[in-house]
Amino acid sequence: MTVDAASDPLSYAASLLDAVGADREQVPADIALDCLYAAELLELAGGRARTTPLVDGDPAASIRAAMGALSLLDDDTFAAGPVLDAARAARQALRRLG
Amino acid sequence: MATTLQQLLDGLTQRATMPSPSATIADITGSLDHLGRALTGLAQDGITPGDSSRQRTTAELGAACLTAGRLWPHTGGPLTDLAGAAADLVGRDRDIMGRSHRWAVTVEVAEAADHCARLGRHVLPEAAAPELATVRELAVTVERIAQVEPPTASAFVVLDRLVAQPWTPGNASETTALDASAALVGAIERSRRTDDLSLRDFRAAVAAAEIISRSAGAVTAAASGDDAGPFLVTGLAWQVAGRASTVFDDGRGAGPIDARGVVACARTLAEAVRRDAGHLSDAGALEEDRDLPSVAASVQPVTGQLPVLANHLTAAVDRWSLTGRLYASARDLPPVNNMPEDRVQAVIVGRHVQAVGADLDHLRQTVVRATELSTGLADAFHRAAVAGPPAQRHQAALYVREVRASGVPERLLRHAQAVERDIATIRSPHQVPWNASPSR
Repeated sequence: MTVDAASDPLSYAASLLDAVGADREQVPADIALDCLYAAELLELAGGRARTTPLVDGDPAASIRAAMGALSLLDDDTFAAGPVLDAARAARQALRRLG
Repeated sequence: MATTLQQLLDGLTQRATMPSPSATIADITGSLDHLGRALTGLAQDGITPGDSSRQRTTAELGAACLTAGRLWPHTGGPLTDLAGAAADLVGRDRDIMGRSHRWAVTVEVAEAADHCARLGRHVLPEAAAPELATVRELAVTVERIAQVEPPTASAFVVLDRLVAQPWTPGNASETTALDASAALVGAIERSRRTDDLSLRDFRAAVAAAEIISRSAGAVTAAASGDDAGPFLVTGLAWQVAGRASTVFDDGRGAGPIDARGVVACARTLAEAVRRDAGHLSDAGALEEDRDLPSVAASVQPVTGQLPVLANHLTAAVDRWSLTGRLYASARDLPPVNNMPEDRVQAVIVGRHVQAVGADLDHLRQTVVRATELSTGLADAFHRAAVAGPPAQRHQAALYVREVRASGVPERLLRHAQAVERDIATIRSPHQVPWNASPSR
């Protein structure tokens, strides 16, 4: 992975959520959609998804890591429409994943 | 609410043939003006490759409608509005229509023009507007030609293309499944026109297709009283297609993101289907407190659109196999005969390579399989008839023909068996199990 959470949290989170959404071996359709949508929104906000493996091969751990990265954003950035919607979609995905 | 050209023309005919019509002559001629615009455009684009009675009569009918349309100043009205929307749709779909489509549309527009002209003759004294009689004569001529040269079933399907109403992702909770479905197909068409459909778009659309298929399968099983298992195989086929895409990366990277693009539309569609159909049990059955006719009415048009969506996804994979947009680890790609030296090296070191041609065969095979099973599911859904006759009747008729064609039932069975084999290897505890029990 060429981006890290501290230097580019938007891209880090977008990359992980995109990877979860692509992993249809482990992730059901509705959760994949939540994650793909969140990744799309984060790119709309300026992030750039790159190919990355899941955290420990675990979709839930990866979503949590992405959410953690979003929590590093300053208040204004986090409160921007696409980022907040992406955070909500990620949270919904994690809840559905159980 | 999303609509189709056929629904607009049906609405126009319905209003023009009401027992006690209240339309003004200005509204009637206004509608003919718009129908003339549509027919003229169709004739200009070409009904047949060369000169023919079809081509000539279409052009003449268009001109006659325009002449009749100028008889009174336009004041608007419901007939004018419906005909105007229909003509706009015909113009909008010019790029995707071939001659056979244009002929199918011409026949339906001619029928509507005849109804409007007939209404005009009732409203006016017989000798007042001979232009209306001309419209009727030419419209009937078109319909007579159509008796010996009828449009094909596949050409008629263009009349069933859903047109989305203006929609924004923010009001997802108020968006119907039908509107979301129309928006999704529209978004995919836009992306494909600019050759910009991303792998993420593809994956989102595949996930939406899976969710629709599962709900449609559950409704069909509940309505027919048959075992749920066979109806669930289409959803599983889409799951396998999604899984087959996992090995690929999108070589182009992030392009401009469309907030109303494929991913947003796919998610809204999935939410709408889930809201209407509810959560399915692990065995793929509807919740017991769901009102089956109500759920079926919501899922029916979306199920009818499923093969349309599927065909777009098949075409996208075909396009990628030509453009080499996707990348994958050489080790994850299917072996090929006479593998070039550089590909052998890439396999040895696990390098990513551009995926072209046969590299996408497995992904294509899974999508084609899911596409054909989707057509079978749409046909089974319509036959279960729990939601009444399908609104998109041309599409439904086409699915019947496709599914009944020689060799197709056997092929669908082989597809189902192949999906069963593939799905057995899925390892996640989150996935819906294959050993589904009967819905009853």
